[in-house]
Amino acid sequence: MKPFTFLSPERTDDACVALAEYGPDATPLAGGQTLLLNLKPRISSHRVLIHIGRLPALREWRHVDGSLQLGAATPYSAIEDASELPGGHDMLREVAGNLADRAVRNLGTVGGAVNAALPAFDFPAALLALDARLVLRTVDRHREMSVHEFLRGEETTAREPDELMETIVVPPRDDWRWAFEKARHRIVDSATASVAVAARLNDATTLDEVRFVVGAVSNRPWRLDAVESALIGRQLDTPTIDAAATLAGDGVTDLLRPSLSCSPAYAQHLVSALTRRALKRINHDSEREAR
Amino acid sequence: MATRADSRPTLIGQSVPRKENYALLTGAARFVDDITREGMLHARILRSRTAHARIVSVDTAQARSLPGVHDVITGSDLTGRVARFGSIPKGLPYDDRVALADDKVVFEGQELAAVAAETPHQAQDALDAISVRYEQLPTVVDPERALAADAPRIWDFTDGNVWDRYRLDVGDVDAADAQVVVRQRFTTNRPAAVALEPHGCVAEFDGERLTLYTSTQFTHLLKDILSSVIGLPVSRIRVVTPHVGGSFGSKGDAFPHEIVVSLLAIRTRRPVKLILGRAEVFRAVGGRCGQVRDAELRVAADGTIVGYRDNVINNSGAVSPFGGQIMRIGMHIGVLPYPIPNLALDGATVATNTSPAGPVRGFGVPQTLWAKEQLVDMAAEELGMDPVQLRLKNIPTSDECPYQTPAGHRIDTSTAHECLEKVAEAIGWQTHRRTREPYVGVGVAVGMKYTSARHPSIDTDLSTIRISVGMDGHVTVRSGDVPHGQGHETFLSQVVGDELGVGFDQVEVITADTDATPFSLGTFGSRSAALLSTAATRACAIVRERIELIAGQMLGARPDELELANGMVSVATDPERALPLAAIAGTAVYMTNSLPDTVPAGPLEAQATYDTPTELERADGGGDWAATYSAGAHAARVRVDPDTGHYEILDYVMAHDSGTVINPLIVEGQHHGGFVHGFGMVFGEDYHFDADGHLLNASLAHYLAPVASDVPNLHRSYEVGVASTTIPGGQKGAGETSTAPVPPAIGNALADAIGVRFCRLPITPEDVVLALAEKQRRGVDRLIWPDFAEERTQR
Repeated sequence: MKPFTFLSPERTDDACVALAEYGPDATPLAGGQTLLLNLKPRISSHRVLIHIGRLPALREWRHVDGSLQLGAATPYSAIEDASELPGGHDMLREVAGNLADRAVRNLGTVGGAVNAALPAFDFPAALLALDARLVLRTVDRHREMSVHEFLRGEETTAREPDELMETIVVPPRDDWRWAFEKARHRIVDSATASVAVAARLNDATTLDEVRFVVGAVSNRPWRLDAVESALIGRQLDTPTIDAAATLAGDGVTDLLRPSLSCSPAYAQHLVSALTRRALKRINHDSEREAR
Repeated sequence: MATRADSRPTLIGQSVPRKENYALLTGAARFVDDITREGMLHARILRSRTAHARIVSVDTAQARSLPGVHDVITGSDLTGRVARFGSIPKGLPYDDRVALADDKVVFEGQELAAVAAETPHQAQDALDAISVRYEQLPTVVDPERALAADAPRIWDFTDGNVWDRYRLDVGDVDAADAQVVVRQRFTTNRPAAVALEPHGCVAEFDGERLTLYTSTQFTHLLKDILSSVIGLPVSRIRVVTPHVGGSFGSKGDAFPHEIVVSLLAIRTRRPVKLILGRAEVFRAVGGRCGQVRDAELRVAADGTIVGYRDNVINNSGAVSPFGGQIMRIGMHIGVLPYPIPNLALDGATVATNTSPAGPVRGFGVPQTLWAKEQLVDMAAEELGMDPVQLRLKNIPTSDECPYQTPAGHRIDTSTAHECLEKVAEAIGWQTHRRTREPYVGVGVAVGMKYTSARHPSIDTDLSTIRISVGMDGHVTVRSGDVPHGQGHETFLSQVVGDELGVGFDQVEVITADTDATPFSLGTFGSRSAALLSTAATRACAIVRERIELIAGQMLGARPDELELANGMVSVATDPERALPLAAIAGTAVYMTNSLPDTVPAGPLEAQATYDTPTELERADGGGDWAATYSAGAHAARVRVDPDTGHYEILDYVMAHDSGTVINPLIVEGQHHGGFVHGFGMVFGEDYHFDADGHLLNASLAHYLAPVASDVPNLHRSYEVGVASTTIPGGQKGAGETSTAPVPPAIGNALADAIGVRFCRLPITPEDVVLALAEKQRRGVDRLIWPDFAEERTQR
C-alpha cells in the first residue's frame, strides 16, 4: 500500500466537493472489498481516498412509489437481511445473500459492485435484468443512466472523476417473476457464468415481458435479444425452454471476454444449463402461483 | 525398553486433547511474525519478473537514497562471499540455490536483491526504486519439452535438463503371463502446500553470534546449512523455530530468504524481520512436483497383478529442492501394497523454468497412486472382475506378514487388506455396484506410505530426545524435531508420562532450538510418532534405571520391586513405602553421599537417539528404505451434476493402519488433513503457468484450494491398525497415509458414475462437462479424458 490522504466527509455534499477538488487523484472508498485488495499489493494507488461508506444518505434503502431506491453504499448484508421484497426486487435479496462470504457482504456495497465493473460480479447483472437506473451526481449537476450505459467494459465505467454514484433505482416490479442462476467453483468464488431473468407473465403462463441477462462470461452483463424474442408471447414449456437455452449458449459466442478463466465451450454450456434452470424456476414459480 | 510389572491404565492409546490447542486457538501461540525486537528492521526481497534471463544490471542507487533504508544487497554483492547451496537435501552435487541471483534467473519470483528499512513500507518503496535489466532467454515450461535435445538449457551442470534418473528393473514385465494389459498416460498437477502461515524469519546478530528465528521443518539441519553458506562457524549460530502455522513439506528446505535475512542482520547489526507475502510463497517456495507418466499394468486371467511399467517425467521446477528423491521414493513406494513380481520403473526428473517443486504431504506417492490405482480398475473392467476383489487378491492379509516385495520393501506388518475390506463394507460396495443410479458412482483406492525413510541424500534417519527430571518432579523433554501440527508436545507427554509414571501435565516439552535441544533431523516423512516416542522411551529407560537404583537404596527395596506412578516411586507390594520423584531428583544432586555406589552424582537426565534400521537405495534401485509402512484404503461415492460439472462426494470412508496409536484424536486429525491435501489435487489446486513461465494464479483468490464447505463429512474414518514390529513402540506414520488414495478413489468413482476415465489432475467441473459432451459426440460408453494425443497436436 502507498501512503494516501484519507478524507471522511460527513455529508454527501462534502464528498462531492472533495471529488471536485481532487478529481482523478481521488477515488471513493465504500466497502473497500475490491479497492483495498488492489491497494495493499500496490496494484493500484490513489493520492486521496474519500470514504463514503458511512454516509447515512448513501446507506439507506427504501421503496418509493413501488420503486426500490438503494443508496449506493448499502452493504449487501442489509439487503440480505431484509424480509421478502416485492416481486422482481426479491432477486436482489437472493443475490446479495449468496456471494463471497458474510464478512465480505458486511462491508461490500451494491454501488461498489457496480463501480468496480468486474465482469464476474453478480449485482450488475441482476440490476440490468431489473432495468435499474443509476443516479450520479457532482456538486452542481446530476444525471442518471442505465446499467448498460454505465458499464463500458471490464473495469471501465461512464463515471466521471468528479461524479459520485448516489442511488440505484429499480423500477416497480411487483408482478414480475425472477430467477438468478450462477455457477462457481467454490462457494467463495465469483461466478464463472450467471443468468439473470426478470419476467412478467400476462396470465400466469404466457410471458408478456422479459429481460434476459447473461453475466460473468462477457466483459459486462449483456441482455440477449434473441432469447428474449424467443420467449415473449410463449408459455414456458419444455420446447420453449430448450430452444431458449440453446439460443443463450449460442448467443454468448461473440460476447465471451478475452479474460475468461474457462474455455468458450464450457462457458457456453454453463450459460445454456443455467438458462434452463432459470426458466424452469420461473415456470415453477408461476405454476405454484396458479395453483 | 522399560517394562512395567503393573497393568495400570496408560496414557498411550487415549484421545487426550492436545496441549497445543489452547495457545493455537486463543491466539496466544507465538509465530515468527509475533517476534519483535528493539530497533528491528524490515526486509523485503526483489524478485525476478521473468522466468529465464541473464541479469544485465541491478541498479540500486536510488533505492539506497530513500528514507529509512539501511541496507540494499544484490547478487553481485554476494558473489564469491556467500556460497551457493541446495545440494544437501537433494543428495546431488548441484548447488542450484543462490541467496540472490547474480548471473541469471531461472524462474519468476527468484530472489534478486533485498532491502532492509525501518518499516515494511519503506522497504517496499526501495524495492520499487530498484531497476533491473534482463537479457531474456528462451524458457522451457513443459516437462516433456524440457527433455528434448533442442530444449533451452537451464543449467550447465545437469545432463540436458535432467537432474536425476531412476531405474528399477525386477523380473521381465513383457514376459509376464498376462491376460490383460492396460496402458495409459496420466498427468498430475502442481498444487502448493498452502500452509496458513507464510514463510518468514527474524535474525539478530550481537557481533559474535547469529540467532535466526524461522518457520522451518528442520531447525538443526538448517543451522549447519546456514553455516556452510554464510561462512559463520556452527558454534556461532543458533536457530530457533517458534510455533509453525503449518508446513506440509513446504518448509522442509533451506531457503534464500533465510540466508538473506541472516546476512542483513550481520551487515546492519540490527535485528531484521521478513515475512513473505502469499504470492511470494506461491512463486518462490513452490509446491508439489508435477508428473507425466506412461504406465502399464499387466494382470493374469485370475486377477494376479504380474507386471507394472512406469515411465515418468518428474517436473521439479527450476531449482529442485529434493532432486530426484520425490520421483524415486514415489515410484518405489507407490507400487505398494502389491508385491508385483515384474517391474520396469524408469524416471527422469527434469528442470523447467517454473517455481521450485518439492515435497508436499505424501512426497511422490500420490503421483504414482493416481495412475496405478486407476489402472487396477481399468484392468478389472477388462477382466470382468470386481475391482475390490482384484485388489484383495493381490494384497497379502495381515496373517501373511511379514513379506518382502520383489522391489525390496520388507513389510513387517500390515492391514492394507483388511482396511480395504472395511471400507468396501462400510460404503456398501456390493449394493452400489448392483443398483445403478444415473450420475452416481463408487470407487476405491489403496496405498501405502513410508514411515520415516533413509533418504537417498543422507545416510541417517535419526531423532534424539533428552529427558530430565526437575527438582519438582516434573519432567522436561527436549526434542530437536519441529512440531508443526503433529502434536509432539501431547504425544511425548503421553509416552513419557507412561514411562516415568508422571501425569500428562507434569511433562513439559521444549522443541526446535539448537541451543536447547539435541540434534534431530527434523519433522517430515511421517516420522514423528515412531522416532520420537522410541527415542523418548529409550531416554526414559536410562533415567528410570537411575531412579530405581536411588529409590531402591532409600526405600530398602530391589529396583525390580519398585513401581513408578503418580509422580511417586513406591514398593509395589507395600505402597506405603514411597518417595516422590522430586525427592529422588533432589538426592541425585544435593545429597550425593546418599547415592548408591553404582549411581554417579548429577541431575536425573539422559539422552537417547533412535536411528531407524533402514537401508539406502540398493545399486539396482530397490531396497527397504523405510522403517515401516502405514496403509490406507479409501472408498468414495460421488454424484455428478451434468449441468455444471460439479461432483459431490456423497459418502467417503477411510480405513488406515497407523500401527500402535498413541493418541487417536491426533491420528484422526492427521487423516482429515491428509485427505484435504489429496482432495485439493482433484478439486482444483494447480499452478497455472503461461508459456513464458509466469505464474498466473499466485493468490488465494485464484488458486483453487478447497475451503471448508468443499470438504465432505469425514467422520467415517476407521483405524484398523496392527503394531509395527520394527518400531519398538509399534507406531507407524499417520500424517501422509490419507493423501495419496484420494485422487484415484475419486477418479475411480467418477469413472463408475459417468464412464469417463479422468487421467489428468485436477478434475475440474469444466473437465467433467467437456468430457461428457465429447462422450456424447462420439456415442461411446467409455471415454478417456483428456485426449492427450489431440492436445499434443494442438500444441
